[in-house]
Amino acid sequence: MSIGEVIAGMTRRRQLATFASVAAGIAAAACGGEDAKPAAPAAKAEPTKAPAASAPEPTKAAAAPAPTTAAAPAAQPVKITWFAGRDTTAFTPKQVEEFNKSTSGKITIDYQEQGQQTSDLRDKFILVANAKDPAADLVSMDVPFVPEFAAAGWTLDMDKVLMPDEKSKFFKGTLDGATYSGKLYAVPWYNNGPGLYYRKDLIEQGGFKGPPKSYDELLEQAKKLQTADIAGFSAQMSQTEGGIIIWMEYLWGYGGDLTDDKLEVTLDKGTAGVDSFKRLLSFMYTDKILPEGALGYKTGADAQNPFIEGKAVFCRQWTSGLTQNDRDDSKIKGKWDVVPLPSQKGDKAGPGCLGTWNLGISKFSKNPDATGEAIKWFTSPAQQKARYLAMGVPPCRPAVFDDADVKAKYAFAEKLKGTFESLKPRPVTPFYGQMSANVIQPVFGKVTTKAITPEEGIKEMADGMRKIMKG
Amino acid sequence: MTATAPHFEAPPVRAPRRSVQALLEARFAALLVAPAMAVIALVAFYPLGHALWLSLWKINLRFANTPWVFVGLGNYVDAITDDARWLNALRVTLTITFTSLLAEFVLGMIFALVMNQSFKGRALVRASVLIPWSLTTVVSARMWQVIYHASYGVFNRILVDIGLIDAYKPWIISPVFTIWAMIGADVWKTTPFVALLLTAGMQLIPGELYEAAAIDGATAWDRFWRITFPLLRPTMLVALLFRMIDVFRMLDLPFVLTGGGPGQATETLSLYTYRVIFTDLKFGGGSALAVLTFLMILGSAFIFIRVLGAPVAGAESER
Repeated sequence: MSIGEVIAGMTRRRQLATFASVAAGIAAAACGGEDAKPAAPAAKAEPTKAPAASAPEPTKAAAAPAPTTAAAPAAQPVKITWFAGRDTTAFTPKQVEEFNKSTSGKITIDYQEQGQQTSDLRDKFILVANAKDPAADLVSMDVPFVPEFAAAGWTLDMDKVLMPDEKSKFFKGTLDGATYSGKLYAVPWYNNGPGLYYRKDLIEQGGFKGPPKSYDELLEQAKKLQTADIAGFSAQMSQTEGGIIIWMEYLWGYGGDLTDDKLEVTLDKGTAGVDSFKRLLSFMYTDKILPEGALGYKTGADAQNPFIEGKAVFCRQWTSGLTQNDRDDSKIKGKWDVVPLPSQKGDKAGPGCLGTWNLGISKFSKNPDATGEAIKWFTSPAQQKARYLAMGVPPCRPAVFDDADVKAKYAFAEKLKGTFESLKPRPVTPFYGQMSANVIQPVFGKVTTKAITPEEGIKEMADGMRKIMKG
Repeated sequence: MTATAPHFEAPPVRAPRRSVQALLEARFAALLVAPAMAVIALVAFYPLGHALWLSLWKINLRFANTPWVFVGLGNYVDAITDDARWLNALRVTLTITFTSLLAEFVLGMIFALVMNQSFKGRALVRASVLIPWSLTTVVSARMWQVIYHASYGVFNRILVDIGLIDAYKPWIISPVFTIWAMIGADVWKTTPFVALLLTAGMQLIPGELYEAAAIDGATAWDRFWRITFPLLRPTMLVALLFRMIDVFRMLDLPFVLTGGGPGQATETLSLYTYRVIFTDLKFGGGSALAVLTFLMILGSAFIFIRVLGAPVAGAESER
């Protein structure tokens, strides 16, 4: 009522009020034009604000060292900001606390998650990097970010952080994924690859000898074992990076690829592209082992939840999710296992996508050395082991798989180690992010919702990718 | 802004000869408005001018040290003649604008008519109608995401229970339904705003008019159509203008609810512009798209104010 009266009163003095409000409206419209505008205002505002906000202590200490702290010697405390992705297990913040304690105040990390999805982190980092803003020091990077950020000149190379003898202690594939034009631009932090989660108990009841090795077997078993209440298969099929990775694994499984080694687009050569889409469409619409709701699974966890609730026989999910299967409210404790993905013919493990996360240093960081120290700590064998034991996120160092504690806790560790040696990276090009967001994801969305046919989709994708690669 | 009033109204009264005092008064008024104008220039005109400037260049941040190339109006020509995705975004935006505005006005009018009656608990009704509007769009988008959810959404449950559909459907992942689901969410959120403005307008209409009409034997419909509707026209135009501006630059709802998908079925102009800048890293081309959106809004606002006569400053004849 009161608001109504206020407005009514306003309109009585119509001439003035409406003039004022329309002026405000037009200003709002002008700002609407600004919404998507480049980071000019941010560029103006942040550099003055951020250094003051991120490192108030050192400036003060430097300004008046003599009278205040005669006792505190040597190195000044440094505060660094970590731009990170979402950690649903909440283990990283704990690890950060431990790190902060371990440096006894010399280096303090301000850990900031930048959003739910991988693309949120990318957008935020681009915003500050483009403004040459020192707000970010440490940045978490998905594999495709590495070449993109390096080419744009936003990250530092890792020559000083990771020594050559240390390099040999990582999986080679993870290092390849962190390298751009011959130089390492990030240190592999934790490893990730896909696995086929399955229900041991259901497969036994169904009379099958073991989990499926080929796409046909997966279909056959899922179809036989699924009920009105339990879906045959679950996978993240939304129009996201995670969704297109699943399709890519089938594309690779049929012997195709987005590009060749020289980054020429080869997607529309041969039938692998169309075959892979047809396989996924048949899973969803013809054979109905994959519920249409999977199109809405925005994260791997969305796809895994039905599995944990006992509502799916199979689930394609990242191995980082394995420990979730045994969480307190799980309905499938002790009833599940994991194997490498199936392949087209079933003669060997199917190809999986390299999903490593890496740690890098922003070029605009004011404290690159301290950030390098932090990266060394987080990627050390001890911390990779701690992370693996606590949240099931596999390490990037093969030696950790052989650790006695790890072997005792994870029976499947040995099996996983093998799959991490053969994971395949997405095309390593600074254009990948753009190709994925502008072409591959939308077309994947259109094909999987049957707005266009697989043939049309492959053509649109290949044409779009070529156009982007031309610059 | 109110301080400008004497400046505008003084001349006709004191014409033809301006006294020295009037001149001083005008100058004093100008002095008083100056800070406000400076702030507006800083927060509105400066960024706008900067966007205009950027839009004339080809700027790509993909590789370090790529020089800026001056292309004049090239970015605009490219968008209009050779960008199917921009045209798609324009089509999506126009579809949403027209349908949303229509639905909001029909529903808003009904709400306003109800809220304008005197009955017990009117204050409660008014307050509760406002709730959707007071929610942050991101929050309501998340809420609708859950409502429309393909496996446990209540929307599916209701439709199945009343027998309209056989099985749950992924409403916001369908090339056909998604845009309508999104419009539904927008209408739910902003109808209260329209209803509130219309209610305020209705309260200005003198009660005697209705009494006189009732005595003359006019039906309820006649009273609405011949009294309420014409007298409400100025309010409606202002409300329409505001909503048009809002819907036309919609970003938050598609960003959160659908991500513009499936495919590009719900990608609005603002969302596409955002992506050109932050995904493609094309700051010049993206600025051109932002300016185009701004010009379209400005043009529509002009039509509303000058042609349709939305009652803003200068449209004295409306009285």
